Amino acid sequence: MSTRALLAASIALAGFILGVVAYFVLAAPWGFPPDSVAHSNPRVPFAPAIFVAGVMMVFIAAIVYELWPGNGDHT
Amino acid sequence: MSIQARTLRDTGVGRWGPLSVAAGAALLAIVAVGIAAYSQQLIHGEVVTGLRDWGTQGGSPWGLYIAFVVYFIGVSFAGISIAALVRLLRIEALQPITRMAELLTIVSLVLGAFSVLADLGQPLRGITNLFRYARPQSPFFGTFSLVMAGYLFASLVYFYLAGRRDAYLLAQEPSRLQWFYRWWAAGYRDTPAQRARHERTSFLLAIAILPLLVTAHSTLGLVFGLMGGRPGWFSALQAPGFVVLAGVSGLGHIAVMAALVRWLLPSTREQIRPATFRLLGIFLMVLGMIYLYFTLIEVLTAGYAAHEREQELVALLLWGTYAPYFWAGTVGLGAAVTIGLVQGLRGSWNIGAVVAMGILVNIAAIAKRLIIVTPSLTHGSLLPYGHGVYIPTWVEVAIIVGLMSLGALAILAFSKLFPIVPLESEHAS
Amino acid sequence: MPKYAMTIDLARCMGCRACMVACKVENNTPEEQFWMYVFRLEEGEFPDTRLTFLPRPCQHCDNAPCVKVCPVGARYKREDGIVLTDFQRCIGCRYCEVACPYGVNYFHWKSPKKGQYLNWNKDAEVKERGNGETPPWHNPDHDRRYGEERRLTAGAVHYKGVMGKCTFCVHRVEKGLEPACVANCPVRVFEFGDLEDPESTVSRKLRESNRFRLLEDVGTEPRVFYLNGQPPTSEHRQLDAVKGGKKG
Ligand code: SF4
Ligand code: SF4
Repeated sequence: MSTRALLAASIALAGFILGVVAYFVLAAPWGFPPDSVAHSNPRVPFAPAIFVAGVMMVFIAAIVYELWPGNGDHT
Repeated sequence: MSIQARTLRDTGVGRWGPLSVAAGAALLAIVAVGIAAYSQQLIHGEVVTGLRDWGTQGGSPWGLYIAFVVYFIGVSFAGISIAALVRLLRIEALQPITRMAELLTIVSLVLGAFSVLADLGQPLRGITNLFRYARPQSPFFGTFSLVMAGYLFASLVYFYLAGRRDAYLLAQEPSRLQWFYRWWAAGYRDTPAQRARHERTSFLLAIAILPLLVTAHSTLGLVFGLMGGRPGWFSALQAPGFVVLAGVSGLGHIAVMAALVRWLLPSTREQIRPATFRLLGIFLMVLGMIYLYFTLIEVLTAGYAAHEREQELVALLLWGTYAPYFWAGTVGLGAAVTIGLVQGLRGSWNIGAVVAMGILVNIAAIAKRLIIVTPSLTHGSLLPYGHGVYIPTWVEVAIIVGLMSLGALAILAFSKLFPIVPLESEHAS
Repeated sequence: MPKYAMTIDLARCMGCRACMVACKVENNTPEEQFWMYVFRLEEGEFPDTRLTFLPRPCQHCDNAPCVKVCPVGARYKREDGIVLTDFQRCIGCRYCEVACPYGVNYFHWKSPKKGQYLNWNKDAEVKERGNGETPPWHNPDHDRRYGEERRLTAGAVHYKGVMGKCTFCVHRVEKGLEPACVANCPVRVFEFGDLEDPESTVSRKLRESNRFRLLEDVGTEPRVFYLNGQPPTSEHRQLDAVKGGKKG
């Protein structure tokens, strides 16, 4: 695998993991019925922002993949 | 067609003719009215809208704004899925309208976000608190984070990457915007390796956007669907109905846009051919039929089996307060489908007729979105409150019309910066 | 931790609406907002009609749809069961209002100060009513923070563009007082107390009387219990429905 592909794949993967972790572990806990105050606060401050950043990273990987310099840019 | 055949000049880029200036000024004036209306709302609160609490106040807490959130997001859905499908399936005839479709996606997503802000009582807090506190349990979380952040961002990335090739071509010619095209091209030289890479990423992106679409739209459906205590919203057909109507309205928009571009920029006529409109017309007709079928099923099931409140709501739609909207929607769709059928049978598709279909389905879609939101709020109470009324005020109408003009203005401005039709079909060579 | 609940004895209610007024005075709710509301219902055809009354506070549901849908956790349920709105966090999306099947939520369409029954901007008028002084336009207790979580939740006087609803008078409950409607009802329709305590009046009344909860089949599990009466049906008409809040 080229550096480019490796880099892009790892950014995408990291973004995905970040998103999943933020959604299930960092954001406000799930629970039905939502009978506790705990369900109204994220476990880590700004967890939703982290989730959004994760989703964005997945797509940034595509830009990195295409824009990473080298190999075949000049012919 | 060679690259040189269409230079900057005939793409319309950089040229503000009298027509564009007049259109731009008119749109700007409408946007200004919208801003004035919104400032009224900011100063006095949402008392200036026709919205009120349901229950003892006899109003509807959600109205035009939410209906248009759903509408705008629906339009964007169609844009990106066309772009993705065209790239995946390589439908040549639709190739020239992919950029328009992608642009429409981005613009209408931004408009959707603005409509959410227009609806919020505390818009600034809305921006900060959603990033700070948003809870995954609320269907709004999906709508906000996936639709506004993920989906919008993904479309931007997609749009950016797909435009690099044209940017590279444009950067070859000296112009005032050369720096911009260079920046956009970012090293792209259309080498076989780069082209192959772009093929790969756009394929992957198209595939990645599809599940995003599904989640985004299911959560949007859930915003209404989760309501056990709201007659009229609880329906299994809610989600597929959302998606189909979204497809119909977006396609309609694209048909209208394509015709406008074709009319205003003669150089694009070779690319946007009647075959393009034939395909759009067929898609519109088929989706319109499916939606009409859904409407029928929904009315029938609610009319026969359901709770008496559901029956009341159906009566309201068919011949009550909301009948004008319901029939505008249904007749509009029916007319569009009929136009399509007639043309299909005659075997020839007329561009004007397809545009008429596009306009009709959008009127229908707006009417439908409104009757998804309000009737259940004004007439769906399970306790013996009186019935409510909801009549939008000028402020709401001005804000929505202003937003639409803002969108049109953005598209117009973009078309002066960058060719709105790809310079050369990507798979031609 | 107590488990607060309310009982409403329908056999006692005579529809005088003193609770509505008490609530307004206590919570300074603006015009057209009724955190406590009393339905005056009629059923049957003339001359065989029957009147019934049905007070309607927020039901403080155990499985509250409003809490579930709030996107930012502004609407939350305390450990003792009181459902509250954090006025500082609420973004004014009105999703809770749409999700609640009881119609108890009131949005501040305009500044709550402007909606008061006396116009506090006209100082002379206010002074006249206040025996020469300008009283504060709202109960200062509403500016305090309550509960372990210390959030801004009491009263209806904070900002325009946020949601408000019955708080079970959290600011009174924390002082050991009863909610205003309970304390002011002339015929003691309401009881408020702790379900955990088998000797509390609510527990005793719940044991002794037949009871129902509003819209039981929606699954919201209300903490408000109606005693000695029947749930409203679609045969019930409102006698004097409040006119729609269309004026500015
Ligand atoms: S009655 Fe409505 S506002 Fe009150 S807790 Fe239940 S769902 Fe929430
Ligand atoms: S209006 Fe406020 S309390 Fe209600 S759901 Fe929206 S943010 Fe939560």
